[in-house]
Amino acid sequence: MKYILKLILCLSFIALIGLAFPVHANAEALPAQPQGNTYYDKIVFGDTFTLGSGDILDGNLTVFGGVITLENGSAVKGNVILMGGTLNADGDISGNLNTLGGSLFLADQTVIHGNLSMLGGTLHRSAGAQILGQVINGGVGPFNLSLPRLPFELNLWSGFQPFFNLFRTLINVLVLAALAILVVLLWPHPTDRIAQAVGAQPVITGGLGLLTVVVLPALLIILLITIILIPVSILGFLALGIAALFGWIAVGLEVGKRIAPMFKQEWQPAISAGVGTLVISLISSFIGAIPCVGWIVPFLIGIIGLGGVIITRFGSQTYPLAISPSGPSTITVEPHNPPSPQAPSAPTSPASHYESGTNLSSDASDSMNTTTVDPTSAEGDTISPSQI
Amino acid sequence: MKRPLFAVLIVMLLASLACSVNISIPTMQVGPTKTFNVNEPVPSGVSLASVSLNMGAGTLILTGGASGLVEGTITYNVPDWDPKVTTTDNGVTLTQGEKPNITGIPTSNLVNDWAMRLSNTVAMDLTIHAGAYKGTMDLSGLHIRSLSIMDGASQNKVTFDTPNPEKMDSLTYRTGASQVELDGLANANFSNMEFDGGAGDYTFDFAGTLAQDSSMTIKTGVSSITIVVPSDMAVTFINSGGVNNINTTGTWTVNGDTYTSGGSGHMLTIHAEIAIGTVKLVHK
Repeated sequence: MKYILKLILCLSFIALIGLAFPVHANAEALPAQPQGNTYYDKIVFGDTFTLGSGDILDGNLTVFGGVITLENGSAVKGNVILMGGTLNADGDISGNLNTLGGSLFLADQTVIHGNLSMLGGTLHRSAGAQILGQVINGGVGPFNLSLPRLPFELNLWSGFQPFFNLFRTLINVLVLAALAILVVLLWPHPTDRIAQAVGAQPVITGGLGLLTVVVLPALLIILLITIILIPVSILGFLALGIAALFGWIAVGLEVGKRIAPMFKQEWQPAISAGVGTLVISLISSFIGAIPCVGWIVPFLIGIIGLGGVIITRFGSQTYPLAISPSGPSTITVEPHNPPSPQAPSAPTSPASHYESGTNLSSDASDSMNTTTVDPTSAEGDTISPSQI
Repeated sequence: MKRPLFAVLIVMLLASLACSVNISIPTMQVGPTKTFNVNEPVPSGVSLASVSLNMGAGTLILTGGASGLVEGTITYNVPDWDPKVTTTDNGVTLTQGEKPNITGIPTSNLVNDWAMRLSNTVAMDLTIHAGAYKGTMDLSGLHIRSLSIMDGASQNKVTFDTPNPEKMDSLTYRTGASQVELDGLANANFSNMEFDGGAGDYTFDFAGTLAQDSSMTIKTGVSSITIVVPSDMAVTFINSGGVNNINTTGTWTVNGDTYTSGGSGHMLTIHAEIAIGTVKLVHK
């Protein structure tokens, strides 16, 4: 019975993903031609664009290396994303303004109804410029999964708006959990390797993830300078996003594996990943709603996962480094010298010696112990030292 | 149990993929290469002209030597980028054509080369707006009363090899993630200069002789800044940003966040607000 419930749960998740595609297809079918002074979703690559007074951009505005002017009286009815460009705003932005390495100039009549997120750029804000949401300088939440734009406007009574936002958050979390299940089913070993690395070395993977988040975007932004390399930069950001998502799911898997024993159960890895991703995504969403400091938890999870992806090379190798077993079924490491009954050494953890850089034989010799490892406990034909 | 579940999920995944998941990266549509000639005379009776250049991605070469106010050619192969010339009583504006919702990723086939010459005899307010472009601006010998450059992710070099005969009231440079080099800035003869940049690599070389006390404000994001000043120039550099990696070459006196270098003549004062990065101060 519980398997049937799991199956229904999984199918429900997948169905939610599937439902997203027709909606997306409808969104693509929206008319692309402007009607008077109304524009729709716009992407600017290295160009200049001016939204004149009275003009409306009914959608999102994404800028790669261009110069954008929003004149007084203009309105963007969506989000503005600025990567490496320059934005002179004196109009109304209904959504969020996110910038990576760009320059922002907000004049007196600017109103940003959402949040302003900045990383590596500059901000000139006139006294009259209004930002109704938060100003996040130096960090952007690792995930803000936006559902496809609906082909119709939801004219909800404003009192229902918080419930709608909550519903949208739950849908996002469910989609992520469903994605986690699929990823683990399709790529079980790489995901597990990342999860193991994350669980074994969260500090190291977190540090590497932080370094990646700081350095890689800067490098990719520099690529934007050269017009020809703009596609490379875009692909780089895409790869970074995929790595971050992969890492998030791996963290979810690790969390799921630790949740299962709490209920005295043994879950399949896919179920562990789904539950774990569901849990961390829900927690991150709710904590993320806390002003000022809410971004810290999802950011930490994001960089730990990203570091795990990087350090295992997208899960292609184990970390810490694996040791290939020499025997077909068991490995027996014999001490080079027999133990001396007169001067027994203090028990020492072989793993800690290994990590300090000595080889396995001398470890065994030092500890005067015999260590037996069953490779079947490890994945594939390798074992990690932490399992010894 | 695992296999049927896996099979069902795979089938559903493939079925969902059949719902036409298209990732189409738009590219800039190019056509035959066209050439647009510009030859605008100096408006009669004007002592201070206004010149504005507005372009998107491409290359911009700007020099002096025009017999009129603005001369040159624009070579382009994007059909919707037909340049437009707007003249007023005191100047001219050159604008690259723009059609809404047609932009895509520029490819290597893109041609949009602006080669412009400006008058060496008429004082002017010069405004340049450009997107992601490569610029070479030799403004030596021009009479520039004010200069405003605003661009996106770009690579630009601006040069003042000879002194600007006009006192420049303001010099403003706003850029995104760029590589910008400004040479001979002492010759620009500005009283106030503001430089705002995103992530990038910026070089300010103050070669020449200051004709007046000058102040400069630098505000950038993640960036590498190099400031080069002649050995005989009096300079004060004040760091008010988050950057603490400041390297000096030559003789500098450090007092907290203030770096001074002795010299004679007019004083150059630089206020820097740099978020993250490095600063090189070179007194040569």
